[in-house]
Amino acid sequence: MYKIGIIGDRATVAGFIALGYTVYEADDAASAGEILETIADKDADNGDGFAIIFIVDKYARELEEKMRKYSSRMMPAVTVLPDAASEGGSLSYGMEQIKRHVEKAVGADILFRD
Amino acid sequence: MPQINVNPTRMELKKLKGRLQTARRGHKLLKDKRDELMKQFLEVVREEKELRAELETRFAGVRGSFEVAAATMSRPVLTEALLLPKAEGTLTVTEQNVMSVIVPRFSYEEASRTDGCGYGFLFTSGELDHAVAELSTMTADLIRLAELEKSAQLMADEIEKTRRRVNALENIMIPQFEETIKAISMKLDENERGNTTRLMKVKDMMLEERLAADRARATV
Repeated sequence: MYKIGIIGDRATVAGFIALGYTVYEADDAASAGEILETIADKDADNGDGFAIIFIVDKYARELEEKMRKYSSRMMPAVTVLPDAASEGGSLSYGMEQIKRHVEKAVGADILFRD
Repeated sequence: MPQINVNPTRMELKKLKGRLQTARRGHKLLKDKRDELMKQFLEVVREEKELRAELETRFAGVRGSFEVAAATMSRPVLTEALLLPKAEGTLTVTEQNVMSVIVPRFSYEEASRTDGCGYGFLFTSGELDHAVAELSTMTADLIRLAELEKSAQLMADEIEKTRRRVNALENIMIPQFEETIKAISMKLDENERGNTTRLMKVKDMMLEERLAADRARATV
């Protein structure tokens, strides 16, 4: 059975324990990165690994390089948790990622331009 | 566009014509693939953007409730309350092939539990119930979001790759083939003309010799 992991600060991720997610608390981005690297390939071969790993927005922002390693693989899907709001001009990191994908594929940002 | 360095022979010409045809066919196919991928990618990305925006607002609400709960309850009680999972669902992963890009499809089945949460109501605040209930309704959407994001990521890579290939065929390989084919046929035509001229020249020389011989015979 595949698992859903979530990495983040205590305040954000604590609620997910109750939902049966595998929760990892991290105090800063560096330790979150270490956790990501240890769990990403864990038990991946016997179909018991993590299919989805959520990372809180503020850590994901600093873990770009580590997350990129998993971007071309089908699993785990390392996803930014939508826990930061995009207001006005400043986008949350998750939204920035969408923007970047569009720019990569289309060559220009056609979703966020107003 | 510089031509390819080959011998100007009929053999090479035939080979090149074949390659040009293949390149044209490949170019058309790849272009179609790129267009279709792009169409599907835009659908995925639009849905992802909407879903993320919606989840971001909902998450803000959960965070608020959770903070209130954390403020009104002592930390050990809160930790204990959240210790037991309310429901452990099963996540299954299937693969889907979108224009030769393999994307994951996650499906989450929540194990049904009759009681609302995994903790007693006595020592916990109502805000916590709110937060957990809201979070659990978000689970399906969160999983969908992960699926969409992964698909967008993989498709963006593939589109970029396909676009490079299309461009390489369109702007480099096809013009190169055309140029080389043109050069070879011009060279062959030139040879042909040279040959004809030589033959005409030989004929003239032979005629002249014949005339000279005739003339010599006449004077005798």
